[in-house]
This record gives sequence, structure tokens and C-alpha cells, in this order.
Amino acid sequence: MWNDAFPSFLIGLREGLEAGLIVSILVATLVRAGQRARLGAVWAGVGAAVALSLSFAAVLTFTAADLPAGGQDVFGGVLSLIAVGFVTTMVFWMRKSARSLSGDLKARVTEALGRGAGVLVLTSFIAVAREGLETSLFLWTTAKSAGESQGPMIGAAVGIALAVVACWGLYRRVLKINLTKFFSVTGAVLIVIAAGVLAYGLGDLQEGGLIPGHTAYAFNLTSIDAGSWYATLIAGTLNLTPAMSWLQVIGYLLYLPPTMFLFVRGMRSAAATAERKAAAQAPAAEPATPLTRAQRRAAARVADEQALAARIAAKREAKQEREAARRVPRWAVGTSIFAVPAVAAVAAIAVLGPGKSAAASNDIALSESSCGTGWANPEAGAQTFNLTNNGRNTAEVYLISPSTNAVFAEIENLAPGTTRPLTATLSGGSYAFRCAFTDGTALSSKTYTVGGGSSGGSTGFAPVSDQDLQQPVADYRAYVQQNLPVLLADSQRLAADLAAPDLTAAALAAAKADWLTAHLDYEGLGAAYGTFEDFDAKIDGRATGLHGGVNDPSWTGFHRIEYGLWHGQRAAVLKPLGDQLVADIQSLIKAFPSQTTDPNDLPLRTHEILENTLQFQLTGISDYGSGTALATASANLHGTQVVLSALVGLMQARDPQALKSIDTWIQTVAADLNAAQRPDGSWTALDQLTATQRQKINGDLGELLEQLSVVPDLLEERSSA
Amino acid sequence: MTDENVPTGTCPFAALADPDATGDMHSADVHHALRRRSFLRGAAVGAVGAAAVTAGGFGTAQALSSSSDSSDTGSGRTIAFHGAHQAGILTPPQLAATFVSFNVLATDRAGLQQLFKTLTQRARFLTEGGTPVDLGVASPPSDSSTLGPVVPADGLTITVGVGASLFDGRYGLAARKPAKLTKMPVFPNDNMQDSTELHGDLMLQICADHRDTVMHALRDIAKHTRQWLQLSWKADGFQSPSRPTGAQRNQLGFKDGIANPDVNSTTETNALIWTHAGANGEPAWVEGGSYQVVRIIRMLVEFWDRVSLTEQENMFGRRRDTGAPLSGTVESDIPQYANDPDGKIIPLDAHIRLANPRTAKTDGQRILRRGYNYDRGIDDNGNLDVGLLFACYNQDVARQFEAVQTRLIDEPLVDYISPTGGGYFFALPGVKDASDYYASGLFA
Repeated sequence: MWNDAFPSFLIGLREGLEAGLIVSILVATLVRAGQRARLGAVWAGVGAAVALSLSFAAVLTFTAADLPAGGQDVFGGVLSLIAVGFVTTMVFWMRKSARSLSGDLKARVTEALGRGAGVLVLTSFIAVAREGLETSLFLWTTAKSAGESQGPMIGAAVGIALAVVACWGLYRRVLKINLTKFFSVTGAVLIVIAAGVLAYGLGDLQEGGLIPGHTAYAFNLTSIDAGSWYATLIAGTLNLTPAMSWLQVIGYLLYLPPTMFLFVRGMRSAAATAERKAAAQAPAAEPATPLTRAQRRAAARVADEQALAARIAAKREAKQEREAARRVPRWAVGTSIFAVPAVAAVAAIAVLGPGKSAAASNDIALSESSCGTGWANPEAGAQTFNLTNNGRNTAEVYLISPSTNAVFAEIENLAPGTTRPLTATLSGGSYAFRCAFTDGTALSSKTYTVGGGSSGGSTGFAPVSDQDLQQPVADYRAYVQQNLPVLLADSQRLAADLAAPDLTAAALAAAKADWLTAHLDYEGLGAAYGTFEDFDAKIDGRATGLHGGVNDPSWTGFHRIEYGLWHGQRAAVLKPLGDQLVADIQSLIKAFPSQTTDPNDLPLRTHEILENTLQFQLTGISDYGSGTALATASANLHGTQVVLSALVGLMQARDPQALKSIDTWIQTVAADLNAAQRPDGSWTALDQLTATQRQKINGDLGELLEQLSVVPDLLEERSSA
Repeated sequence: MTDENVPTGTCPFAALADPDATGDMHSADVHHALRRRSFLRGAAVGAVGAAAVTAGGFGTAQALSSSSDSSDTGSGRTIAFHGAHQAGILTPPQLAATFVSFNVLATDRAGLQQLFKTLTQRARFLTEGGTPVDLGVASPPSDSSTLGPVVPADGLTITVGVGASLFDGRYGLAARKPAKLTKMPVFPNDNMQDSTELHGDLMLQICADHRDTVMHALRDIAKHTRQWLQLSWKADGFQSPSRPTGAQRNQLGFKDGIANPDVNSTTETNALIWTHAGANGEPAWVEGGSYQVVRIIRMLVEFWDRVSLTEQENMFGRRRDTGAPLSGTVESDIPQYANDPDGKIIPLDAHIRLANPRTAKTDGQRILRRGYNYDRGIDDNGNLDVGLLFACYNQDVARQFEAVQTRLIDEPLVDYISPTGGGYFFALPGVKDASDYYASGLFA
């Protein structure tokens, strides 16, 4: 409960101070001026502002309507700027009053306040509404995210109470100091506060998007913990924050020094004038000559008449005041204080319209000491989290189920100091963030509970660890290890064919047959995307990337030999190529045990082998004359099955349905390809297929690839999740 | 000056086509609004939901379900998907289009039905716009994001047609073939030998206010229907703006599509465009469909540009500058053939006179043209491969399109044009509502 109460306490304290300071000075001014009767106007403004704030929260809560993002900022920003105007006017009015300190202040204040009851209401209203709206929204959401309202409410109440006490203390203190000092001190304090409010209001308007440059920071003191008590106090009193935009700073500097200068100069000259006046008046006040009795009587009569007139005037004035007060019935005032803001709140929401956001946005912070704080409003549906890495190391962040460890969403490599969005579609259930930093720190957030049904969200999947992939990789490597000698033997047979002094028709036919056997051995190994490093280019490279094309002397391997065999090249030309092929395969056999297979490559290979097939075999690009693209495709399909069979356990445990679907489509493609093999075992060339046959192979392989495309995502190594 | 019958495919959308500049305001977004509040969210603060201070925290679910906003990008237009007829027929032509012919790979009728259901589901989503489905961590993303994270509707229409070959033996649907649906014959002036762009089991006419929206839709549909459909051929087209007013000009410089049936008149559309159950020998399920003819007509523009203006105008029967018939002054003027029986003003073999003689007998032969210009590179001679993607809709392809096309055989214009591909298709009846799907009547 302390955890939930403390943030609310800080909120209450900060916002309470922001609103309370101006109000207390306003109240102190009235009290010092002997205008307690006018206090009602101030409290009316405060009451209306509180009502407005609560109404906003209530309307939003009960209608689940939505202020557009930025709408509230613009509202708050405009109020802040108006508040600055009012407070500044008030300060200079007070200074003007302070100039004539000879005793008629009371009268002047009365006169001014008589004109300005509305101003008092407005000033106090704006000062409080500015913060009140924000406070009630804060509290509502805090309570909601905490899942209980007691802690946050108590925290907020204590915070606001402390703010009220602080304001009360200030109020008592300023009552005791003498008038001149009172006006100088409160005036100066108000100017400093108003400067802060100006910066704050400009910041709001920037956040609301009305003014650009929100992220153009003049300074951003990340070393200061913005949530600390001292930062909160400074923000509450001076409206200064650890990060401020250039516009905020410039506004602050353009306002504060000149205003303060004008104010201080005015106070000094007022004090000097008052002293001179007092000195000049002092002698005149004493009667220079004794008065005659008649004179004294006349003076007394005049005084009596004046006193009577004053009493009558005072009575009439009091009566007028009472009448003025009575003109509007008390209940009407009370009702309108609460009704008008409520209507205004509803109207504002109606006019501003429902907010439009594709997903609720949540700011989530993480560091080596704390992972995944700040999910304010755990809700089902599409969610976007803005993850900020406040730590010193790059992090991987996962949204997991704390009970099953299933992964729902992830961000890889979130660099320190950066913010990136993480999206997830959630159904009801328990979730937690898991943060794994490159320094080895791994920690989880608290468990967040999302209400709602268990359908409609993304499915979570058990993460695959590098240990999980060790056995499949070992199995696949064993398969390759076992088949490389077969490839070597078949290649040696091909090389022997090519070593014949002359390629007779029979020898050529034998060479072509042996070429196909050896080539399919290789294609069945599941080589794709550099499995065998440079050996793949030497053994099975195409001429497309070579400067001289098919005539390039550096072109070697199966396709080079294919080109020669099917283009009538002589044995003398082909013999060195056969020898080279054998030598390269021997080197591969030697090197393979020390070549590492990245565990993540294996799941990738499940679709990449056949992506290559679609791109290079079924288009005929890889055909250098043999017309055996479909045979190659069939060998590639077999290689894919080998890779898949190594991963079948991991797939079965995570998505048996996907595995089943993949199997079905593998069978379909296999049947398509087999249909192209003639009874004698030879293969139909691509261009001899009917258009329908070819479309069917392409379409079915395309669908198989769509199905296979989930494997790398599903089986990606997520050891730290 | 303008004729209400003119398909106003061009300028009305030019203004709409500009992305709504102010629409992006909201994406300045919740995130920004939060930044200052994140202030309160230091280590001590724990799990305070600074986030939700912004209104974004309220009513999330509602915002999700109701306002997956599609107007942030694109033209902001959404053309209704559901209805008695498919969109993209009477719809004034959008700026960009593609015509894609597919062959159906489905092995049985159930597979074919599944294909139409999937097509419906994709077309419904794409034409309405919204946020693509989130497939989570265990899959590549569901959407290509070529239109950004939220798919705009952008005036997209997807019009599905079926070819005569779909009614062969494969699916046992021969008895339900639309009565007038045949394989497009070769007309005497055609150049269709060895064409790889002919016919097909299924035709998608995809039109939108922007080119990228058309391509996005095609990619999405192809990805989701990979097991049932294989692309066979594809032709892209564009609408030209009114120059300076009225119907768009084809690449021969003449206004095209001036005298279309009135798409706002139910009488005209019912008599000329829509097929009706039981009428004309049609099966019951075709109510509200239409026959679609697509022809890729290359225009030999280099040759054409060496032809005198008088000869050009006599071939068309219209003025090139205004589009007016040679007997009139503005493009909407009706040519008066009765006063000109010998073709002294508008030659008897002029294109417009042959195509639409404006007699009572030929009135029922009128077709709704909805063509696009195309531009796709050069030929072996270095001449431009540009022309017209002729597309039209009609109630009875034999009574209407073929009658017109037959009259046009050997018109003078044939020396300057070369039809190289296309096909006849039957544009399906509309998808009535959320529970309906394309060609549902075919399986009923």
C-alpha cells in the first residue's frame, strides 16, 4: 500500500503547492486590506475549479470518453498563460497600492476590489483549475493501475493536506510582517512563481502540439531523479523541471528578469516617495496657532457632520453590499459553482471529441535495478508500450507470462537512453516484463494483471534456449557429416568420367548421370546462405555474379561442369574442373568439423532452402543446360525435411498445428515434384511442364513457404526470456 | 461544358488525393504528452501510471474498437464494400488501377469456396482500412506496412470477376456458369498470338486513389491466398486528369469515355449493366453482377503522331481539342447522324459513329467504359509500349460489347492500335453484408 500511496502523496503535494501558493497570497492580501468580506469570491473561484476538476474526472470515468491526446495539455497550457497574465497584473496593482502607504491603502484596496470581484474569482479559479484537472486525472489512473483506491487516496489526501499546511504557514507568516515588506516579498515571490507557470504553460502547449519544439531540450538533467522529494518540491513551487525545452527557458528568461526589475524599481521609488511625503507632512500636521472657541466649535460641528455623513454613507454602502449579495440567491451560487463546470467539462469533451489512439500507450522504464515499471493501465487489446532503457547496458525486453514463461512480445537490443515502442495484443491474464542486459543482469517486473477474457490476444510461446537448440544442431551436423563422404565418392566418380581421354556419347551420358547424382547429394545437404562458408560458392556457385559470366575462368563447381557437359565442351576442359570439385569437397570435409553452426541458423534454414529453390530453381536461373531444376527442387525439399526433423520436438511443444500444416504442404509439394519425374527416373525440364503444372508447383511451394515462415520466429533463441 | 454522363474520374479527387496535413496532429501523440509526466515516475514512484494521465489512458478499449482511423493518410475516402453490387463498377474511376488475372489452384469446390471467403475477408479489411492483425512474436508481421502501420482505405475498391475457365470440370460448376460468359474470342484486328496476357480463372480489378495502395492490396491478397491462386498476368493503369475539362484523354490525345450510360439512373444501369436472375437465360445467383471485358490495347503513338490532325479527327469523329463531335461544339453535344446520312461531317467509319450509331436499335448495346491509360516500357524497336487498358461493364457481352466490337472491325483506327491481351470475366454480385462472401450464391 505504501508503494501505491507514495506517488499519490507526491502528486498531491506538488499540485497542491502549485495551486495553493497563489491562493494563499491572494487571501493574505485581502486579509491585510481588511477585506475579509471579499474572501468569499476567492473561495468561490477555488470551489468552481475543484468542481471542474472532479467533473472532468467523473465524466471521463463514467463515459469512458477520451480527451484527445494533447487536448488536456492545450487546456492546461492556455490556463497557465492566462494565470501568468492575471498574477502579473495583480502584482503590479499591489505595487501601485504600496506606493501610498500613508494609510489610505485600505480605501484603495476596497475601491480596487469593488471593481474587481470578478477578477478575484477568476484568478483563484484559474490558479486551482490549472492543477486540479491534472491532479484528479493522476489520482484516478493511479488508483486504477494500483487496483485499489485506498492507498492512492490516502497518499493524495496527506499530500494535499501537507500542501495546505504549508500554504497556511506561509499565510500566517506573511500576515505578521509589515505592509511594505509584505507587498515586496509576496510580489517578488509571485513573479518567480509566475515565471515558472509561464514556462510550464509553454511546455504544455508544446506537448499538446500547438507549438513545435517540444523535444528541443535546453537541458535534460537525467542525473536528477525526477521522482525525488526535492525535485518534486522544486517543481511544485517553482515549476522548474529537470528537463526543459528551449522555448520554456527563453520564455522564463524573457519574463522573469525584466518583470522583477520593473517591480523592484517600482517598490524603491514608492518607498522613497512615501518617506518624502511623510517628512513634508509631519510639521504641517501640528497646529501652528491656537484656535478661537468659535473656530473650534465650527470645526467640531463640521467634524460631527462629516462623521454623521460618513456613518450614513457607510450604512448605505453596507446596505447596497447586502442587497448586491442578496440579488443572487445563495443556492443559485452554490449550484452554479458545481453545475457550470460539470456542463463545461461535458461540453469540452463533446467538442474536443473522443481521443483517437490506435492503442493505449504506456511508458515503461527499465534499468539494471528495476525492470518494467510504469504500466499504468493494464488493459486487454492492442497495446503499445514505450520502453525506455534508463540503464547503462543494452537490454533485451520481453513481455512474458510469469506463470508459464511464455513470450508475448519482445524488443531486441534496446540501447541505453533510447525509447522504442513494443506492441502486443493482449487477452486477460497475468503479464510481466523481463529485462536482460548485456552485462548479464536479468530481472523481471512485478506481475501485472490484465482483466478480460482469455481470447483475442496474441498467443505466447515458450522461449527457446540455446541449450534447446544444441541437440538439433548436433543432429543436423551429424547428418551432414554422414553424407559428405557419399558426396565425395559420387564426385570422384564424376571426376573419373571427366578424366577419360575422350567423351564418347556413352561416356558423356555416364558423366551426365553421375553429375546429377553428385549434384543432388550436395543439394540435399540443405545448404543455403553460406552454410559451408566459401565452399558453397566453389562447389555450387552460379556464373551470374562473375565478371566474365559463363566464360569466367574462376567459375568452378557443379554448375560449371553442367555447363560444359551440356554445351559440348571437351574432356580436356572439364577434367581440371572435376579434379577441382573433388579437391574442394575434400577441403570441406576437413573444414566442416571446425565450422560452427549458429543455433539460430537452423530454424532460418527451414524456409531459406526453399526460398532459394523458388528463386533459383523454379525460375530456371540455376539451370545451365541439364534441365534438372525439378530434381534439385526435390533434393532441396528433402534437405528441408532433414532440418525440420531435427527441430520437430521444439515445434511440437510450441505449435503442433503449424507443424501439421507444414507437413501437409511438404507432402503436397513432394507430390507435385514427383509427378514431374518420369517412370525411368529422369526429370521433366521446367519448360516442358504445362502452364498449369508449373503454376501448381509454384503456388504450392509458395504456400509451403508461407507456412514455414513462422518457424524462425517461433524457434528464435530467446535464452534470457 | 461538362456532361453529367462523363465519368468524372479525374479532377474531383485531385484535391482529395493530398494527404490530410492536419491529420497527423494526433500522432504528436500520447507519447509526447507523457514526457513531462514521466517526471513523476522515478525509481521511488514505482508503477504509477503516468501514462494514463493523458486521456489516452481512458476508454482504451472503446478507442480501439471504434476508431481504427483510416483517414490519417491517403485520400481519406472510404468506398463502401457491402452492397447489392460490387464497388469499382459504377464508382468513378480512381487515379490508379491494376488488373490482375489469376489461375485458381484450389483442388476442389470446398477449396474454391474457402478462397472466396478469404478474398472477401481481405477485401473487406483493405477497403475499410484499419490496424492489421498483430500475430505476435511467433510469426513474421501480417502486413507489409508499405502504407504505414495503419492501413488507410484511400478510396480502394476490389472488384472480383470470374472467367469461363472456372466453370470447367474442376469444380462441378458448369451448370452455374453465367449464361453469356465465354472465353474472349480473337477479333480480326487483334494481335493475340503468343500473348501471355489472356483470360484467367479470376480477375481482380484493384483501384485506389494512390498507386501504393493498389500494390499493397495486391500483395496482401496474394499472401493470403497463396495456396489457391497463382498470378497469371497483370496490367497497371492510371487515370489522366481532365485536360482541361471533361473526360480523360487517351494516349492518342482524344477524350475517351464521353458517352457512357448514366450511372446515376437505375433504369439505365438495370437495362445496360447489371445481370438479372432468370432473365436472358441467367442462373439465379448472378443477380446484381455484370460482365467485364478487359483488353490491353496498345497505341502506336509514334505512328499516330505522324498523322495529320484532320485524318486523326476523321478517324475518331471528334475534335481533338474540345472532344466535341465533328457536328458539334462541346464534348457533350450529341452527334446528329440523321442529318448526315452520307458521313460528310462525321465519316461513316468514324470510331464514334461505328461504336454508337445512336439509333433506337443500338441503344441497348451501350456499355459502361471504365478504362485506364497504361505505360509499360518499350518494345524491341525502341517504340513506347503505351496504350489503353480498356475495361467495360455490360449486362450481356454478346448483345453489347461484341456487337460494338464487331462494328468496329477494320475501322480506320485499327492501323494505329494493337489489342494484345485481355479476357472476358463475370464481375460477381456484391457482398451484401458482414456475413456474406463473394460468389456465395454460386455455392448455395
